[in-house]
Amino acid sequence: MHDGTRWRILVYSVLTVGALLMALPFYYMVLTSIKPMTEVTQPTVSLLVSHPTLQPYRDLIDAGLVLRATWNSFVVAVLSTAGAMLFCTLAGYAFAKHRFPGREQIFLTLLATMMIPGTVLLVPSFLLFRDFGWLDTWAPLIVPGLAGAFGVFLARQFIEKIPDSLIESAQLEGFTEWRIFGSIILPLSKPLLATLGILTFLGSWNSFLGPLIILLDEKKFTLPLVVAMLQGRFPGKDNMQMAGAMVSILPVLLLFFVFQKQIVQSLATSGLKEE
Amino acid sequence: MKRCLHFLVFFAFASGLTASSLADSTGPPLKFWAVTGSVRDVAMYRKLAADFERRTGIRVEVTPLAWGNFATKYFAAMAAGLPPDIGVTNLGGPFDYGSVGGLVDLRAAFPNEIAGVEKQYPPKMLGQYTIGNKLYGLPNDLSTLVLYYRTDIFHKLGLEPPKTWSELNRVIGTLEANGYRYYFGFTNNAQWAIGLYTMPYGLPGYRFGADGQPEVLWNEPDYQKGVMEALRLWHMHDSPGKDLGSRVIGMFRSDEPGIAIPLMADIHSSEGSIDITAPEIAGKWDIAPWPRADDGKPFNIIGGTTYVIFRKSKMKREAFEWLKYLNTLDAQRIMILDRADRGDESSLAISPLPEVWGPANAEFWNRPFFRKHDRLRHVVEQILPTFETVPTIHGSVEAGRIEANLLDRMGTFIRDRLDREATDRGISRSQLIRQLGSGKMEAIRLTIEDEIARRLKQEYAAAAPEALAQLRQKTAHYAARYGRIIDELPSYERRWSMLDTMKVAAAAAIAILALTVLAVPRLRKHLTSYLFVAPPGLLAIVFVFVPAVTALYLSFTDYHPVLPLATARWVGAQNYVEVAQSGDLTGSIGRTIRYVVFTLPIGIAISLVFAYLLNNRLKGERYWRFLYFSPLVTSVVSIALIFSQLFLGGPQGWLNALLLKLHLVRDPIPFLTSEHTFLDCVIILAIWHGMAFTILVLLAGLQQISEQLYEAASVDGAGPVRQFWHIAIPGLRPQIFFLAVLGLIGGFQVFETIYTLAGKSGDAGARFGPNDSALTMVPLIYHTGFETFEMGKSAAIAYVLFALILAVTALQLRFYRKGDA
Repeated sequence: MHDGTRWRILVYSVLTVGALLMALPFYYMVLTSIKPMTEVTQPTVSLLVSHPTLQPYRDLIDAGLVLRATWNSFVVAVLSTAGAMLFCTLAGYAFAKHRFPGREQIFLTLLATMMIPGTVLLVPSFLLFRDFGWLDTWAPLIVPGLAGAFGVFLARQFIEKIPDSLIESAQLEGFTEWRIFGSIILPLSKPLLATLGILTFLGSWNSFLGPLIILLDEKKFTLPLVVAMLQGRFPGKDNMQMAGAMVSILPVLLLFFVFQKQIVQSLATSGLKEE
Repeated sequence: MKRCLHFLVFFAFASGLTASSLADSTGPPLKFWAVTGSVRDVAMYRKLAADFERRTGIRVEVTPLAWGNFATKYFAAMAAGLPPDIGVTNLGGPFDYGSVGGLVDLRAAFPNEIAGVEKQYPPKMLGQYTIGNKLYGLPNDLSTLVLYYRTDIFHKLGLEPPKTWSELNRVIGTLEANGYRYYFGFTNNAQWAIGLYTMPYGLPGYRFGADGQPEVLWNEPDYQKGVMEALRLWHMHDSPGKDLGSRVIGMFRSDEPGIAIPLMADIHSSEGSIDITAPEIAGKWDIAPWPRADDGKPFNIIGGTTYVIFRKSKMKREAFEWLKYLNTLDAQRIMILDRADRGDESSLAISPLPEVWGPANAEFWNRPFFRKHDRLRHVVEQILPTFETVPTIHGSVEAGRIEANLLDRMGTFIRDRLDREATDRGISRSQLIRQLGSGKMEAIRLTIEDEIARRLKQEYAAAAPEALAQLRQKTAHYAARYGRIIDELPSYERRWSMLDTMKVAAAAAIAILALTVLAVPRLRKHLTSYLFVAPPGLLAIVFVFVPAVTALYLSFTDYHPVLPLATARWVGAQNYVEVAQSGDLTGSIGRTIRYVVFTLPIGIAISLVFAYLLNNRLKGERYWRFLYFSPLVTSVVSIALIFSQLFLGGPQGWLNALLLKLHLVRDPIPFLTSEHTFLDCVIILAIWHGMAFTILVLLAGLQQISEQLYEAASVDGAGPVRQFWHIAIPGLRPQIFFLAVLGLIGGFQVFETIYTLAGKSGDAGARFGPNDSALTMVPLIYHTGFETFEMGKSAAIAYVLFALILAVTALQLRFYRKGDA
């Protein structure tokens, strides 16, 4: 677009500065996580570490929290994602391609639920889960999100673009709706499934306030809870805290590096950040 | 399809494994939760549990809790109906949990044995754990502050370990005049420990007066004299921050003026880490007990832990047996030995049982092991019999928060005043403090202290009536509402609550819908369609509409979550009115707006620039993308943890180190402990983290702008900058609008970053930022619902937030549409 050399120099230098700023916290995290306590307690700042050690990681694993929390987060995220991919697409298909009384009204009501901020639901959800006996279990983290309105919305948008003719010809051949869904819609919805999957997975993986209120037993904690706990559990032990942050960030970053293109595309088309 | 099946089977198996590992294998164990700062306490309790099981056959399951959020955990557990059987909590626990019916009244439950147990303690120790005549807790251990000091440096300067407050100040002054510093760790700026300075004069902050009504003693001259001492020690010296944990040992071990800290005031249990982390100074340091007030009685205890047994426990008898066992001399000895032998976490456990310190146990203490604790031990032996606690008053949580914010403001006042004095003289604050310490500026020091004292008097005079009102109101509220309810709790648990109504209504609605679809032929035709859309519909009804309506109902009630929902009482609009009048709501709205006003425009502006730059054909696109977009996938909590260290308030914090190096500031900035800067740190973090998503959306938008527009502009002679202004930005209007709406909705609901940066998991006294400087709306909702447990008010604030978001979004939409026309 702009090809002047001066322009390109400007672009690269500004971007490099920006990249340094973006990378700085991660660099700090890696650096501090391999510092021995004697260096952590040094009153001066150093950009390098003289005696790197993996002891903070060993201590962290000994404390037995982080690995289990990672597994917990993984289980919850996978279950949520599988559910979301199935139910949202199913409903999206019905909204997109079926005609039935009340279709638009039901859809709009669903959309309305997106307007209500999660904060409003916080307290009564707690009480509701208490009545169900779901407190201190993973059910509240998985079940309500199984068919989120946003996922249904995305699915409908996407499936609308699938040519009606494909579906009609299948119907003429006597396929049941379930079969149409399974053998026609699903295979054609790979980008949608990828988007739904990535969004749901990330949203579940990084969710904090919900688990904070629902979970009591440390053994059931998800990763963000344990990371937040590190401050209280290991005060002053910066290296262990950073090791914990590393363990929580590294897997996701690796996945991101490998699947960059797809993830970025999904997030761009979705246009919604999960917080 | 087959692959999916395989995966699901494997997954179910793995989850089952996980679930079973969490379930019990043999009969139910006694659930024992212990709040502790050390993982080794768990091992110690497990040792004791093994011994206990040998003697009684009762198995005990030990779970640790962190000091940061133990109270929330206990309350959440009680509210969830899932508390442990017996727990260790803070000194305030018995009152806090007992007053909402969460605990067993030990006197009523174990009438025959409790008298014997009570006699084991000093006579006035149990006051704090009683409400009326009910006893809700028993002491576990106690904590005290001690002074750690470098004997070699003291000797060099001709100093002796101080025995009184004035001696302490003189010692610190001498140290500072010689270029050293001192460190005040545990209980620095902690309102909950202010009794250390006021109880020597016999004055708690509040107590029941002669007429049985609460009274506030903040305006007593002696009370303020004590608080002045605290402020002096916390803020008028060059302490490098508080809660540095083991980081401060690096300075304790140093010898160089400018870095070295030869004197530390910290909790008695820090000594072990010094031995291990700084072996080269062995023999060059010692411990001295906390000095006494010159003109007050000795008072040394700052806190400790208590045992409580929970009402919902099904193993109360076993819990009591465990408690009695832990109080035996054998068990006490095991605990003391264990705590004293922990490598870098060794310390002297301070048992509340005089028997442990008395002559009967002398032989135990006469081991060379305990030699270095001799002085501390003698102090404890003297203090213990006179240690007393006073009954707690309802509303002390709120009153404590008022005082905590007041102390924060005084800290800011002192810091600002010293900064002004230093700037007037053209020196840095540390230099000023050194000069004040040298005794050469007595007149100035007295002037400054006088100003502080006068300001303190003003602040307390203004705050006392508010605190008194809270105490009176909460006491009256408790008497009117809960006093009777507590005794009748089991019957309330059986009663019908609003939530039961909602559940029935929802179930009925679903049933009616289902039946209608099945019965009406016109609808029956589309059964499959309805089945497809049923999951989201059902979930929406049960998990969105039912809670939303319940929240609306709750917002008009007075309800405490530990009590059964049937105790909720209708109060009309009172919650809304109270919250509006208290200033908490307007304050939080103001802070939220301030947060959003800074984060959004700056974030979008910076991201625009970067997105525009990234829109060129770049080499190594993969790496640029990775670097700029990584925050998209990482949790804000982890990022906040990293930033909480980058923002450290001493010279080790990277940001401070940079600022000092570039000579942009003279003294390190206490980013996270000063109310001036805390919210700004949150904003910086938010901008950093938000850039990734913002750039992403903008970049996608830029890529849709036709090349031809740029080319035409080039031909007309417009450079890249003009093209940015006149093509890119207008073309991005939809995206910018989208980001603004999302950013606003998200920004209004900010929580995780504030929670983590404020260190809420680590610090029991932490508010959402110093002086509540980052108490935005969601933190306020969390605080009201899960810290002061006024669920009705919490729901009210949530609905106000909802209304605000709707209003602002609608405004934005109108603004955008107008722009289109």
